[in-house]
Amino acid sequence: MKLSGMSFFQMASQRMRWLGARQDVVAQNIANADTPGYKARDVGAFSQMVNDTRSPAGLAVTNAGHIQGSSKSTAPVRVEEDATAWEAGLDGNNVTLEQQTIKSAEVSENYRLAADLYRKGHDLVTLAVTGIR
Amino acid sequence: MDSLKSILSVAASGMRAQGERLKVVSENVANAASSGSTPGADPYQRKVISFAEMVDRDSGASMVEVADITRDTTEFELRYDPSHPAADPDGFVKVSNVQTVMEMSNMREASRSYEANLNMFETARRMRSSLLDLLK
Repeated sequence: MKLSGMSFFQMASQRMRWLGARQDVVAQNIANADTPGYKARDVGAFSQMVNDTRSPAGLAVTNAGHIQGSSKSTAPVRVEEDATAWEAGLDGNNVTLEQQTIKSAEVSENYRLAADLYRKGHDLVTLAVTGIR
Repeated sequence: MDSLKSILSVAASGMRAQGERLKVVSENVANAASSGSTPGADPYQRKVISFAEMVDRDSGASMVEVADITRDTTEFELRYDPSHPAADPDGFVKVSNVQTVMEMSNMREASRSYEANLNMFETARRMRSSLLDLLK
Protein backbone atom coordinates (compact mmCIF):
# COMPACT_ATOMS: atom_id res chain seq x y z
CA MET A 1 0.00 0.00 0.00
CA LYS A 2 1.35 3.36 -0.97
CA LEU A 3 0.42 6.38 1.12
CA SER A 4 0.47 8.60 -1.94
CA GLY A 5 -2.08 6.32 -3.58
CA MET A 6 -4.67 7.18 -0.96
CA SER A 7 -6.55 10.24 -2.10
CA PHE A 8 -6.39 11.83 1.33
CA PHE A 9 -2.60 11.85 1.49
CA GLN A 10 -2.32 12.80 -2.13
CA MET A 11 -4.63 15.74 -1.58
CA ALA A 12 -2.74 16.87 1.52
CA SER A 13 0.64 16.72 -0.18
CA GLN A 14 -0.70 18.48 -3.27
CA ARG A 15 -2.11 21.16 -1.04
CA MET A 16 1.27 21.58 0.65
CA ARG A 17 3.02 21.77 -2.68
CA TRP A 18 0.59 24.41 -3.88
CA LEU A 19 0.95 26.44 -0.68
CA GLY A 20 4.74 26.21 -0.93
CA ALA A 21 4.66 27.52 -4.47
CA ARG A 22 2.26 30.29 -3.46
CA GLN A 23 4.49 31.36 -0.59
CA ASP A 24 7.40 31.42 -3.02
CA VAL A 25 5.49 33.82 -5.29
CA VAL A 26 4.59 36.03 -2.30
CA ALA A 27 8.28 36.11 -1.30
CA GLN A 28 9.19 37.22 -4.82
CA ASN A 29 6.58 39.97 -4.65
CA ILE A 30 7.91 41.22 -1.33
CA ALA A 31 11.52 41.12 -2.51
CA ASN A 32 10.53 43.16 -5.57
CA ALA A 33 8.29 45.58 -3.65
CA ASP A 34 10.51 48.49 -4.72
CA THR A 35 11.43 47.38 -8.22
CA PRO A 36 10.11 49.79 -10.85
CA GLY A 37 7.69 48.21 -13.30
CA TYR A 38 7.32 44.95 -11.35
CA LYS A 39 3.79 43.54 -11.34
CA ALA A 40 2.52 41.51 -8.40
CA ARG A 41 1.95 37.82 -9.12
CA ASP A 42 -0.10 35.05 -7.67
CA VAL A 43 -0.64 31.37 -8.40
CA GLY A 44 -3.74 29.85 -9.95
CA ALA A 45 -6.46 28.51 -7.64
CA PHE A 46 -5.81 25.21 -5.88
CA SER A 47 -8.91 23.62 -7.41
CA GLN A 48 -7.57 24.51 -10.81
CA MET A 49 -4.31 22.69 -10.06
CA VAL A 50 -6.15 19.62 -8.77
CA ASN A 51 -8.38 19.50 -11.82
CA ASP A 52 -5.51 20.08 -14.17
CA THR A 53 -5.20 16.70 -15.80
CA ARG A 54 -2.60 17.90 -18.22
CA SER A 55 0.54 15.79 -18.04
CA PRO A 56 3.94 17.53 -17.95
CA ALA A 57 4.47 16.54 -21.57
CA GLY A 58 1.54 18.77 -22.47
CA LEU A 59 -0.94 16.11 -23.54
CA ALA A 60 -4.44 16.59 -22.21
CA VAL A 61 -6.35 13.56 -20.97
CA THR A 62 -9.83 13.95 -22.41
CA ASN A 63 -10.94 10.33 -22.34
CA ALA A 64 -10.79 7.75 -19.56
CA GLY A 65 -9.02 5.40 -21.97
CA HIS A 66 -6.12 7.76 -22.53
CA ILE A 67 -2.81 6.91 -20.95
CA GLN A 68 -1.62 9.54 -18.58
CA GLY A 69 1.99 10.61 -19.01
CA SER A 70 2.61 10.63 -15.31
CA SER A 71 0.69 10.94 -12.09
CA LYS A 72 -1.53 13.91 -11.43
CA SER A 73 0.54 14.99 -8.47
CA THR A 74 3.09 16.59 -10.78
CA ALA A 75 0.61 19.03 -12.29
CA PRO A 76 2.40 22.37 -12.50
CA VAL A 77 1.38 25.34 -10.38
CA ARG A 78 0.49 28.22 -12.65
CA VAL A 79 1.91 31.62 -11.88
CA GLU A 80 -0.03 34.55 -13.24
CA GLU A 81 -0.26 38.29 -12.75
CA ASP A 82 -2.27 39.21 -9.68
CA ALA A 83 -5.46 40.96 -10.82
CA THR A 84 -6.47 41.82 -7.27
CA ALA A 85 -3.47 44.04 -6.49
CA TRP A 86 -4.65 46.93 -4.37
CA GLU A 87 -2.87 49.89 -5.90
CA ALA A 88 -0.24 50.87 -8.41
CA GLY A 89 2.61 53.29 -7.74
CA LEU A 90 3.93 55.91 -10.11
CA ASP A 91 6.80 53.63 -11.14
CA GLY A 92 4.39 50.93 -12.36
CA ASN A 93 4.92 48.68 -9.35
CA ASN A 94 1.70 47.40 -7.83
CA VAL A 95 3.00 45.35 -4.88
CA THR A 96 1.40 46.34 -1.57
CA LEU A 97 3.36 45.05 1.40
CA GLU A 98 0.24 44.83 3.58
CA GLN A 99 -1.62 42.72 1.06
CA GLN A 100 1.35 40.39 0.64
CA THR A 101 1.78 40.08 4.39
CA ILE A 102 -1.85 39.04 4.80
CA LYS A 103 -1.43 36.51 2.02
CA SER A 104 1.73 35.13 3.55
CA ALA A 105 0.09 34.66 6.96
CA GLU A 106 -2.86 32.95 5.29
CA VAL A 107 -0.61 30.59 3.38
CA SER A 108 1.44 29.80 6.46
CA GLU A 109 -1.67 28.89 8.49
CA ASN A 110 -3.06 26.74 5.72
CA TYR A 111 0.26 24.99 5.41
CA ARG A 112 0.23 24.13 9.08
CA LEU A 113 -3.33 22.87 8.70
CA ALA A 114 -2.39 20.64 5.78
CA ALA A 115 0.66 19.31 7.60
CA ASP A 116 -1.39 18.56 10.71
CA LEU A 117 -4.06 16.83 8.62
CA TYR A 118 -1.39 14.70 7.00
CA ARG A 119 -0.08 13.73 10.40
CA LYS A 120 -3.60 12.98 11.65
CA GLY A 121 -4.22 10.74 8.66
CA HIS A 122 -1.00 8.96 9.40
CA ASP A 123 -2.06 8.48 13.01
CA LEU A 124 -5.37 6.99 11.83
CA VAL A 125 -3.61 4.54 9.55
CA THR A 126 -1.29 3.56 12.39
CA LEU A 127 -4.28 3.08 14.67
CA ALA A 128 -6.07 0.94 12.12
CA VAL A 129 -3.01 -1.26 11.61
CA THR A 130 -1.74 -1.64 15.17
CA GLY A 131 -4.75 -0.88 17.31
CA ILE A 132 -2.46 1.15 19.59
CA ARG A 133 -2.97 4.88 20.02
CA MET B 1 10.59 21.02 -0.76
CA ASP B 2 11.98 23.08 -3.54
CA SER B 3 9.83 26.20 -3.40
CA LEU B 4 10.32 26.63 0.34
CA LYS B 5 14.05 26.56 -0.19
CA SER B 6 13.96 29.18 -2.91
CA ILE B 7 11.91 31.49 -0.65
CA LEU B 8 14.95 31.76 1.58
CA SER B 9 17.21 32.95 -1.23
CA VAL B 10 14.55 35.31 -2.63
CA ALA B 11 14.04 36.92 0.77
CA ALA B 12 17.80 37.12 1.25
CA SER B 13 18.17 38.94 -2.07
CA GLY B 14 15.49 41.40 -0.96
CA MET B 15 17.27 41.97 2.31
CA ARG B 16 20.58 42.52 0.55
CA ALA B 17 19.05 45.08 -1.82
CA GLN B 18 17.35 46.98 1.00
CA GLY B 19 20.59 46.93 2.97
CA GLU B 20 22.38 48.46 0.01
CA ARG B 21 19.67 51.10 -0.19
CA LEU B 22 20.15 51.89 3.48
CA LYS B 23 23.89 52.24 2.87
CA VAL B 24 23.25 54.80 0.11
CA VAL B 25 20.88 56.72 2.41
CA SER B 26 23.49 56.81 5.15
CA GLU B 27 26.12 58.03 2.68
CA ASN B 28 23.79 60.82 1.63
CA VAL B 29 23.02 61.84 5.20
CA ALA B 30 26.65 61.72 6.22
CA ASN B 31 27.66 63.89 3.30
CA ALA B 32 24.76 66.34 3.54
CA ALA B 33 27.15 69.10 4.60
CA SER B 34 30.10 68.18 2.38
CA SER B 35 31.06 71.05 0.13
CA GLY B 36 33.87 71.80 -2.29
CA SER B 37 37.17 73.28 -1.14
CA THR B 38 38.13 75.40 -4.16
CA PRO B 39 36.23 78.48 -5.37
CA GLY B 40 33.09 77.49 -7.32
CA ALA B 41 33.66 73.75 -6.71
CA ASP B 42 30.70 71.36 -6.67
CA PRO B 43 29.57 69.96 -3.31
CA TYR B 44 28.46 66.35 -2.65
CA GLN B 45 25.89 65.19 -5.18
CA ARG B 46 23.12 63.03 -3.76
CA LYS B 47 23.22 59.33 -4.74
CA VAL B 48 20.12 57.52 -5.99
CA ILE B 49 19.72 53.73 -6.00
CA SER B 50 17.47 51.78 -8.34
CA PHE B 51 16.40 48.15 -8.20
CA ALA B 52 15.74 45.65 -10.96
CA GLU B 53 14.13 42.25 -11.15
CA MET B 54 16.61 39.41 -11.67
CA VAL B 55 15.41 35.94 -12.59
CA ASP B 56 17.45 33.23 -10.95
CA ARG B 57 18.44 30.62 -13.52
CA ASP B 58 18.34 27.62 -11.23
CA SER B 59 14.99 28.11 -9.56
CA GLY B 60 13.29 30.50 -12.00
CA ALA B 61 12.39 32.76 -9.09
CA SER B 62 12.39 36.54 -9.47
CA MET B 63 14.97 37.95 -7.13
CA VAL B 64 15.87 41.59 -6.79
CA GLU B 65 19.20 43.22 -7.46
CA VAL B 66 20.65 46.70 -7.35
CA ALA B 67 20.46 47.92 -10.94
CA ASP B 68 22.41 51.13 -10.60
CA ILE B 69 23.60 53.76 -8.18
CA THR B 70 23.42 57.10 -9.95
CA ARG B 71 23.77 60.73 -9.01
CA ASP B 72 20.84 63.06 -8.45
CA THR B 73 21.24 65.85 -11.00
CA THR B 74 19.04 68.36 -9.18
CA GLU B 75 20.50 71.89 -9.20
CA PHE B 76 22.56 72.86 -6.17
CA GLU B 77 21.23 75.60 -3.99
CA LEU B 78 23.37 78.68 -3.37
CA ARG B 79 24.14 80.04 0.04
CA TYR B 80 25.79 83.39 0.69
CA ASP B 81 29.00 82.80 2.65
CA PRO B 82 31.91 84.87 1.29
CA SER B 83 34.41 83.55 3.82
CA HIS B 84 33.94 79.93 2.70
CA PRO B 85 36.84 78.43 0.68
CA ALA B 86 34.39 77.25 -2.01
CA ALA B 87 32.73 80.65 -2.43
CA ASP B 88 32.58 81.98 -5.98
CA PRO B 89 33.63 85.61 -6.75
CA ASP B 90 30.12 86.82 -5.79
CA GLY B 91 30.39 85.12 -2.37
CA PHE B 92 27.95 82.27 -3.04
CA VAL B 93 28.67 78.66 -2.02
CA LYS B 94 26.97 75.70 -3.67
CA VAL B 95 25.26 73.46 -1.09
CA SER B 96 24.72 69.74 -1.54
CA ASN B 97 21.32 68.68 -2.92
CA VAL B 98 20.67 66.18 -0.10
CA GLN B 99 17.33 66.75 1.61
CA THR B 100 17.36 65.22 5.05
CA VAL B 101 13.59 64.78 5.26
CA MET B 102 13.58 62.82 2.02
CA GLU B 103 16.46 60.66 3.20
CA MET B 104 14.64 59.94 6.45
CA SER B 105 11.49 58.78 4.66
CA ASN B 106 13.65 56.70 2.34
CA MET B 107 15.33 55.15 5.36
CA ARG B 108 12.03 54.26 6.97
CA GLU B 109 10.80 52.66 3.77
CA ALA B 110 13.99 50.64 3.39
CA SER B 111 13.80 49.34 6.93
CA ARG B 112 10.12 48.44 6.54
CA SER B 113 10.86 46.50 3.36
CA TYR B 114 13.79 44.83 5.07
CA GLU B 115 11.48 43.78 7.88
CA ALA B 116 8.93 42.39 5.42
CA ASN B 117 11.62 40.27 3.79
CA LEU B 118 12.83 39.10 7.17
CA ASN B 119 9.30 38.05 8.11
CA MET B 120 9.02 36.14 4.86
CA PHE B 121 12.26 34.34 5.71
CA GLU B 122 10.97 33.48 9.16
CA THR B 123 7.61 32.26 7.81
CA ALA B 124 9.27 30.03 5.24
CA ARG B 125 11.46 28.56 7.94
CA ARG B 126 8.42 27.84 10.09
CA MET B 127 6.64 26.17 7.19
CA ARG B 128 9.69 24.08 6.51
CA SER B 129 9.92 22.98 10.08
CA SER B 130 6.24 21.97 10.09
CA LEU B 131 7.00 19.90 7.01
CA LEU B 132 9.96 18.27 8.69
CA ASP B 133 7.89 17.65 11.82
CA LEU B 134 5.92 15.12 9.77
CA LEU B 135 8.94 12.86 10.08
CA LYS B 136 8.73 12.74 13.84
